[in-house]
Amino acid sequence: MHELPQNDQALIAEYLAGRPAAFDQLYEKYRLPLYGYLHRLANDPAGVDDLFQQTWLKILEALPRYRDEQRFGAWAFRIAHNAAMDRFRRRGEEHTELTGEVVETVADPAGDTLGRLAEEELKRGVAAAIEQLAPEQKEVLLLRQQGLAFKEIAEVQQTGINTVLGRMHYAVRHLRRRLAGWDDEARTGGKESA
Amino acid sequence: MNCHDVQQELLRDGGWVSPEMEKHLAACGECRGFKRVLHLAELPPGRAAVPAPPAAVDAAIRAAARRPRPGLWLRLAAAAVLVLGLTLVVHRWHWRPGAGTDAVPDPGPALAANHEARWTAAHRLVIPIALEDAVINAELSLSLYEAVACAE
Repeated sequence: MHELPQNDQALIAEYLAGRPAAFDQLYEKYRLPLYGYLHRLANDPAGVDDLFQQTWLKILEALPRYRDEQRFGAWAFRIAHNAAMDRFRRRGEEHTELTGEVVETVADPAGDTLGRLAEEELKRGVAAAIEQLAPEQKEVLLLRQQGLAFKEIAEVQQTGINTVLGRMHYAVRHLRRRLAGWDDEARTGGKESA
Repeated sequence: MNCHDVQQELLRDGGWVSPEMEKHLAACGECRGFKRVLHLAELPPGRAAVPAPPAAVDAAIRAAARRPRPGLWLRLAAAAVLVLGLTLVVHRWHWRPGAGTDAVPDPGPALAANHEARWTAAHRLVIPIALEDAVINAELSLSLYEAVACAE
């Protein structure tokens, strides 16, 4: 039986040479990251399946033109981003530009409730706060979670790296405000875990 | 270093913290909070938190990956044109006038043999032309394929 290679470039070459099993391996590697990204970016559970399928059809179509200058993951996320932007445009939605507008901070009635949250709960709190960000900032965070470098995110968003860094800075500051009652030192006893 | 500088540095890929930044972080709760939130925000989502595409979507994408690519379709179309051309040639070669038409009276064996000899002689000129047509058709199809492949 033919042994499939592990790296993306070799898998693509195998697939283009007529071995669909190589695509299956590539798909298995990226299906959850791409689906999760689109799911959270589009915020449209009903339309995300279609968007996801469309993204992969575009990837399949463009695969013969893929060059190894870019990581496959970053390239695939760019295709997913473009598919999502097309969808937004068709639906007449504005993909809000960064204006400096802060999404309303949800008051934490207990004040230090977040400080008492366990790590998993805290992560959920961060995930919920990310949902409240402006789309560009949210996308930067989602792509960072998928391991993309800021340079790669700049390529996905077709903008400059300083803009991306600005979006990230703004997003983190916003999250910090959203998690205003959370006191890391109270929770960790002053130890930094980052 | 002020808070803005420290936070910008924390964002950089790699996240190296210089002694100067360490000093600032030790004294600044705001920047420590920024660093902590940044770390949490960049953590990859847990596997349980990531929704999975429905099985039907997975199956549709995998099936699409197994469909022949457009380039292959063009190659197949070129081959089909070639086969069609050859079929035409073979058909002309084997066709005989009057075959299967009952309305035409039987001219008799001698006349039929004579007619067949004349028909064959006439079509020996036509067959190379038909062959040439088939070759041209095939070349056109291949050129079209190459043009599309280049455009891709």
